[in-house]
Amino acid sequence: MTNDVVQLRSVTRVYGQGNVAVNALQGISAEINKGEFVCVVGPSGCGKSTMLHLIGGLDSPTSGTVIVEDQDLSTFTNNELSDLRLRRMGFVFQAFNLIPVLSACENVEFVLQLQGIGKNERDTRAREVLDSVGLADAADRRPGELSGGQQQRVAVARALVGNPLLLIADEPSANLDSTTTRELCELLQSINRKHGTTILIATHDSLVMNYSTRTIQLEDGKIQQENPA
Amino acid sequence: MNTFRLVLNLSLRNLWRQRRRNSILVVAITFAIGGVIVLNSMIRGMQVQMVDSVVENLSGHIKMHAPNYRDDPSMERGFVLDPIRVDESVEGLPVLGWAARITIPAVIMSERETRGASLIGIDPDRELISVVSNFKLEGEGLESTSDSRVLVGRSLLEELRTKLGRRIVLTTLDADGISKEIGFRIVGVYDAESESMEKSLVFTGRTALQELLNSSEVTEVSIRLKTRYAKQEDFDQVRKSFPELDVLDWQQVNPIVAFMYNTVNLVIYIWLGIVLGALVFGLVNTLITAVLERIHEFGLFRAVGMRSRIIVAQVICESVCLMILGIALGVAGSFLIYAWLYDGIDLSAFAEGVEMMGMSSQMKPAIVAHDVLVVVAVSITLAVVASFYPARRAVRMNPLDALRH
Repeated sequence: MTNDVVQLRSVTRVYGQGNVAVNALQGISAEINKGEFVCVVGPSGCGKSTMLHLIGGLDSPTSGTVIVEDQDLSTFTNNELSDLRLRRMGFVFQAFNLIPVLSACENVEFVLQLQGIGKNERDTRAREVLDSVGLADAADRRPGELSGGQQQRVAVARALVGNPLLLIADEPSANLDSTTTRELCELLQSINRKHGTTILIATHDSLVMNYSTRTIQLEDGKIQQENPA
Repeated sequence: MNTFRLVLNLSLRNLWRQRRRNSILVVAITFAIGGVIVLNSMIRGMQVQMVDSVVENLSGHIKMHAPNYRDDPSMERGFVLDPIRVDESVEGLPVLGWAARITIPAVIMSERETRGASLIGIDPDRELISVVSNFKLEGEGLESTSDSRVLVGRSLLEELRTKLGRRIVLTTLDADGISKEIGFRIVGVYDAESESMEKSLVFTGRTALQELLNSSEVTEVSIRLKTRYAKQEDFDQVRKSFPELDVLDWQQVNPIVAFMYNTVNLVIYIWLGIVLGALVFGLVNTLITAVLERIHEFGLFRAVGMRSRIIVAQVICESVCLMILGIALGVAGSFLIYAWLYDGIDLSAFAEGVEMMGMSSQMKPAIVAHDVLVVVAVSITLAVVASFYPARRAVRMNPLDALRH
């Protein structure tokens, strides 16, 4: 048993075949420890999102091994991967990706409902998490009635409500202004410090990097540098 | 339970999200289901009328003849009536009544014309079970079984060019197969719904006819039940008491009407198949559109850990919800139309055709619970089947590709 939440061992990911093959990741190896706040940085197309998708079990590597909590993801079935994402991970996307027909509170509850948690506990926990991200008053509003920043905070609340081991955020500040980005980062930092949730963010926003405990810099699918903050 | 609620909640909200499109589909389902039930009720109404008409028109629910009588309907194929035995044979059955008759072919001569017809000897008191008791009469009815006068249909009277009160001569064979000419006075002229009945049936008293033919036998016993259809056990009970006779149901007595009756059953299911088949295409089309619009959403569901089968369940649930709403409105609408048409539709413009089918000119719809249940069950099954392909499309895509969609 290691302290690593995630281990990547010589991971490559090639999209397409033959002349049109794109090497998104070229044999990268890395570890992410429990409680870290790690930013994966680099220019567009360097493989940041691919790395996050492989760790989240949304994609599988062409070669190499992705290990999450000492378990090789290549041995997981689709349903086991779904369960892993549901119970051990939280996702925050660039485009918020809230469910438009559900209110903010229901969007947060959604994950708990999939986990099979009862109505009363769901409601209490969802409202607590929304309160912690400063959206107690917007709990009953639908995504279309919220600002971009508010929607992203609902997405964070949804990612956190299941008490995940690892929170994966792919360009979470891409659609936010600097003030909202700062608020979001402070929120993620406080969660990281308060609950020890491991946070892995793909970004090229220097403002976000300032909050991390470590950065992994990617370029052309290779790790160029790893910097502790 | 949690998952079921989640699926139902998402399905209903997604249906509401596309309410205009879904409303159009629900209207289509409503018309299809309502149309099928209304049409079925008309067809069933026709069938009920066919059966009622045949049963009333002297067949009864159970009819007994001597063997081979139907091949050669004559007094030679008669049998001795034992009323006590008949009463015993129907003991415990829901019997409205029974009547013994003599039905033999005869040639009828008036002073001007000659026609072929069936001469029927009846006991007027027992004919409350048949159409004879409902005849509109000009003149008098038969007074008793020993009344030797005759009732003639109006159409036959016109063809014979004779009048009420005049005498006609009937030539028929007696029990020994010897030709007999018997004179009868026309005591009454009846009007029936069926012109063919008016032309072909002449009634007289049964006992009187037996005396004229030197016979103590009858050619048939007709048993009428209080229920619309006789059960197999009813036949078995009567057959057991009269093993020496042919015990027949209305379908055996009237094979042409029976053929039409059974063909109509087939028509109902063919019609159901065509309408619901067409509906399935509309449903699949709408569901595929709804799925393609939400590929990104399904990708998100899978990214946060929803299993594929829950997504499949959601698509199926949406399809079933649409169908259930359409069914509810369709059934409600069809019942309203049924209530509106309850008194019947006037088909007198097609009198000859409907008479051929053994129906009256007033067609009354009849809703059969079994038919409605079949329509509902088949529709819901089709809603589930129709949603499999769209549901498969919803989960076939890799979650990452779906998220990029």
